[in-house]
Amino acid sequence: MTYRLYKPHVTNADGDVTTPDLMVDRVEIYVAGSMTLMPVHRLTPAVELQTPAGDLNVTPAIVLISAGGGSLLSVAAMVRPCDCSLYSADVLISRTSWRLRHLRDRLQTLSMELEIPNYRESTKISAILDGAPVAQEADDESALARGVMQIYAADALTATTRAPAAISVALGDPNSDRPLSCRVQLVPVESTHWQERPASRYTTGPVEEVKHYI
Amino acid sequence: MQSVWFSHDDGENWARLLTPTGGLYNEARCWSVSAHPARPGDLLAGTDQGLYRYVANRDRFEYVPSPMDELQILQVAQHPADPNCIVCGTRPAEIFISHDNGESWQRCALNAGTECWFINTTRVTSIHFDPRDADTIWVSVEIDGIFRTQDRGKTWTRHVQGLADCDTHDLVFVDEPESGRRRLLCSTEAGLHQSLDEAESWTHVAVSQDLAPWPYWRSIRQRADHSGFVLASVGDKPSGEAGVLLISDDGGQAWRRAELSEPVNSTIWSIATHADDPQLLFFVTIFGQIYRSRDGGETWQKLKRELGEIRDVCWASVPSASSMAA
Repeated sequence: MTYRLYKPHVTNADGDVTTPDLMVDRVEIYVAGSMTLMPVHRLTPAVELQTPAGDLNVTPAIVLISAGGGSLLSVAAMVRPCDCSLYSADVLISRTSWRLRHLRDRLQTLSMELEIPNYRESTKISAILDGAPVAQEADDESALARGVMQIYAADALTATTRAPAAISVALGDPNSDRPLSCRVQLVPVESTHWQERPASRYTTGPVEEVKHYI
Repeated sequence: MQSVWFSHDDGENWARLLTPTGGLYNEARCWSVSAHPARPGDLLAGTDQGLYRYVANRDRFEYVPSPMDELQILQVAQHPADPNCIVCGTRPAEIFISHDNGESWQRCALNAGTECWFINTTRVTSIHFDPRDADTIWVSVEIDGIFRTQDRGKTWTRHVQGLADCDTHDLVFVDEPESGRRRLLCSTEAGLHQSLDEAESWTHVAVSQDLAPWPYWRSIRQRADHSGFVLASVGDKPSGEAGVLLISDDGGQAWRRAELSEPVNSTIWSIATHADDPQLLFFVTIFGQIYRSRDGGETWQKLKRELGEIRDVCWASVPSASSMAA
């Protein structure tokens, strides 16, 4: 069964950080209350994304992830060419997350900000999470079934840019100075770190009989 | 290799961070650690989970996002004059450099071999900042030789002329300030090599079999007082059962055996020295032994605690105590 291994660093309310490895095999995209399933392979924690030439739409999103100790909350940036659907986007998800149950009583105070070149906009996340199973989140159990990740896209904040560009989706919590952000460098697909791309080289190693081995 | 172990009493006792909240999977494979005098108590760790920074006042590791998450970060080094300049070497053999303390990274055009018959995939085995030039960085690659940049990673050259084997492990710079002469020492799978012309050419250094019974030279290190005292580990094989520690008072020209309280169980994989106390050194074997010297490397005492596979060791003075990481 196909899955993506999500490896977050969960900053808890007391400041401790835990590191569960979570297998995600169902990704649900929510836009204005409507849900569509997305293939898991579109998820990536990469800090750089190679993108095609041309205009790109960037949509910030709030992400909920099922975890045994209670759902996690994180942020993501959904990136795709302007002529492509949101559901075909690459979803770059932060490896930092918070525990939802620590926040559910004050979600209204949290805001999410998208920053790309020459653009910065923010919104309260409570509106984005309309319909999310936040109220159902118990103290000792995730409201999301095992393996599920829900991505709530803030489509109204969608902005357009072109690579190269640095994009940032950040969550702000007035009660805490702990950071939660997804920062990604968009790299044009034609760019390269080679002045002149070299041939691929083969090395051999010991050419005589090796009396020892690695 | 099971995350990072810390000692705050010169190696007598060891512990990992608290399992639930240490910030790093406590069985992560960790190949390298780096401490910097300008950041006392902090530590960078190269792992198979990404790059992590131990922050002393929070007593936990913090993840440093980077393009290296899917690679094995085998070497981490910080520029002696600038702790914000971080150089990481990986498997496959690539070099990534950050000039802003890990906020952003550039992948260098190292151009190491992309495939190797013997180990299938090349890997970076050491990173060194040239003591005489702030923009020059040297890298040893297994199995592809020695690489050098003279412009902080923008361009690289490969230096293998005369190496009996490109399975290179470590480098030492023996500089003579009065004459300006330099001897480079390079440890390889096929013995010790030296260069007198900035690695334009290498020559094999013959060391008697009485001293070095095997050709597998691994870690070499100059003691942090830069007196020309050099230490070198020689083992029967990477995953073997025996090893020796050689020491030299004259920058690697003449060698003798260091005195160990008991034989090592495998190749000595890493040697730690620090300018805060050049008389205090440590080495670790790949199969978990830890030794300490309090006389500058002449004699060594095996410490009681043994860990699992160990790939790197460093020590540093921190406020109120000295601290080690392995």
